[in-house]
Amino acid sequence: MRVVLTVAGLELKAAGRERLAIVLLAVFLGMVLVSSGIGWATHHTVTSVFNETVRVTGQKLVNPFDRVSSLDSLKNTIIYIVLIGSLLAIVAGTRSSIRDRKAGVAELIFSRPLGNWSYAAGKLIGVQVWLGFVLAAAGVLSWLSVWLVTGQVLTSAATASLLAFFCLAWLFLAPFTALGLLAGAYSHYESTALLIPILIWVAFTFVIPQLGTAEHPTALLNPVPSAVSTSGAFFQFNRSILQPIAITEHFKHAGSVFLGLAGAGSRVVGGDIASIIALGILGAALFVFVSSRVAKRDLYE
Amino acid sequence: MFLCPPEWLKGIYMNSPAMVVFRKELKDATRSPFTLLLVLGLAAVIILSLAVASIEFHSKVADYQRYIHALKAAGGSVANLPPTFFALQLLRSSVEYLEIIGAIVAVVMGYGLIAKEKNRGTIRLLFSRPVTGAELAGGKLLAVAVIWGVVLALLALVIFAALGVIGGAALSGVEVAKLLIALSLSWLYLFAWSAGAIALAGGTRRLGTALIAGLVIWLVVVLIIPQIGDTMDPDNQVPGGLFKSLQVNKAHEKAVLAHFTGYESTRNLLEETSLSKRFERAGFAYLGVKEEFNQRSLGYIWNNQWANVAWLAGVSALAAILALIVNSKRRLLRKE
Repeated sequence: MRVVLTVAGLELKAAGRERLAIVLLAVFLGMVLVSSGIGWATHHTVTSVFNETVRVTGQKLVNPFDRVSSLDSLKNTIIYIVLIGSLLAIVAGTRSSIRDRKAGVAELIFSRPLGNWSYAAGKLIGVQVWLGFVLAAAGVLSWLSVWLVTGQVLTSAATASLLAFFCLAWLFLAPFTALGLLAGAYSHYESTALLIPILIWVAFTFVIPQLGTAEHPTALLNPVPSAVSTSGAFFQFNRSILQPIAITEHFKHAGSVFLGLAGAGSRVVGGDIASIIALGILGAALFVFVSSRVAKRDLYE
Repeated sequence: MFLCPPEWLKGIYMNSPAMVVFRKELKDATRSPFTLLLVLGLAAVIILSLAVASIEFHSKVADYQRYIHALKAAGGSVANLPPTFFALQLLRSSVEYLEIIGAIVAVVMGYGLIAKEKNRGTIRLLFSRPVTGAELAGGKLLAVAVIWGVVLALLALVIFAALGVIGGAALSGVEVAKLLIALSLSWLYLFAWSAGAIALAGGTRRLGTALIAGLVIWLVVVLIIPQIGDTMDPDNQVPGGLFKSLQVNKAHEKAVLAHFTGYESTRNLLEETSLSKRFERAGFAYLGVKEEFNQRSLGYIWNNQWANVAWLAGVSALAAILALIVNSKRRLLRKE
């Protein structure tokens, strides 16, 4: 365990030196600010539209925004985590593995009495820990931004939901970190080390949901999970087969439930979390299994 | 004899430093698994999306037939027309894949061309020869243009075959022309992203920063700005629509929205600054995805879309010029 913590500590140090963690922090905070800014602009406009409608019609109307969740202004964060969060986790993982191979450290490390498990677990924990710091900062900023947008401090229940959402986001990024680490350890070229996990990410984010719903790729960028747009048996069959591995859809569903979004559907999220954890474990296991064998491979560029 | 290029042109091709870099990049592209993966990956998503669109269309036809059957059995009269098949409309998802995935792959490609020289240390070796930064960037830009040209030509073959086999459609001459125009627009779009990434990788001291900056720009241009249009639409803020939930009629809706023209104009203006949105609008117009342009003449589509095409061409040229300027010897030789 001490070895695992040493590798994780070195990973954190290296991330700090590379400034990648700082750049990622800036991206995530920017992402939250954009999401909140859009939320504020729309909230403000909808309230004005509602007031104007009351004035024009002369009727006594109930503001439909009153029924919307207090965390609604953060709904775009779901899709930003699916897209940019997972991509950045891939980049972080890839660069972490490539860094060791480029510096020739991988060979040195595996010449020591160090198990595959210790090295791989240390790497994964190291990257996930600093991704956790980044998400924690994004969570705090989200809490503050909702306060600013709605003018009300979040209740303890809403704060707990927000906390659950960011914990889920942290879990969701783990399979992508493992995928990046794996590709970085395996590939002979840095460009293919990035391209292969990006293609796998495309499959999880767009192709698998499209095969089960017939939705167009841009429609899949909605924060709430996609529904089947046709009654075709082909899509129903695909959906039942591919459902367990469609982790982006699972994250969108569970995230929508935690943020209390309308259109989230069923409130049960156990299956979603189980799928995300299962793929995280699979990715980590694969990385553990192959890391010592492939991390010493030649890197041509 | 007529096909043989003049000596001076041969001289430029063989001896100019930019051309040497260009030829080297093409050789690297044929050796690296990146190009093969790129073609296979994009071909796979295009074939899958075509298959999904085709199966979805047949499902809709079957749904319509069931509806007609039930309606006739109940003694009702048929008012709705059956779904009509337009082969090019099956390519909607393919355009969206090129818009979203093609762009990010183009960023990785452009970044990789500069990153490999820095990582291998060959950048120092290159500049020990009489070559300028602009020549180096020029050779790489030319290579990117040719690689994307070849990739899209291969994808065109995949699309023609897939439309025939999966969609069961034979394209007319005009449809082929529209498809080729849409693919040319894709070339401009993808080249712009790769050229932008070459500029970023050359302009930043740290390669990691260039890659993250490229991803962030991709996020803003491809996702955030186009999404603003939908997200900031007041009527999209409440499930079922704001005005429907308030039970407000069209006349009152118009009267209310007349007070928010500034907001609406800003929303549209923001959308129009996105290269992806411009590409999508022009691509959808030529493929007839938007009903307004379906089965229309090339002249009609051009008259409505020239601004989007000009925008694409302008941004591509700007990205290329930026890459040529930014990739100076001094910048490329900086230590991380």
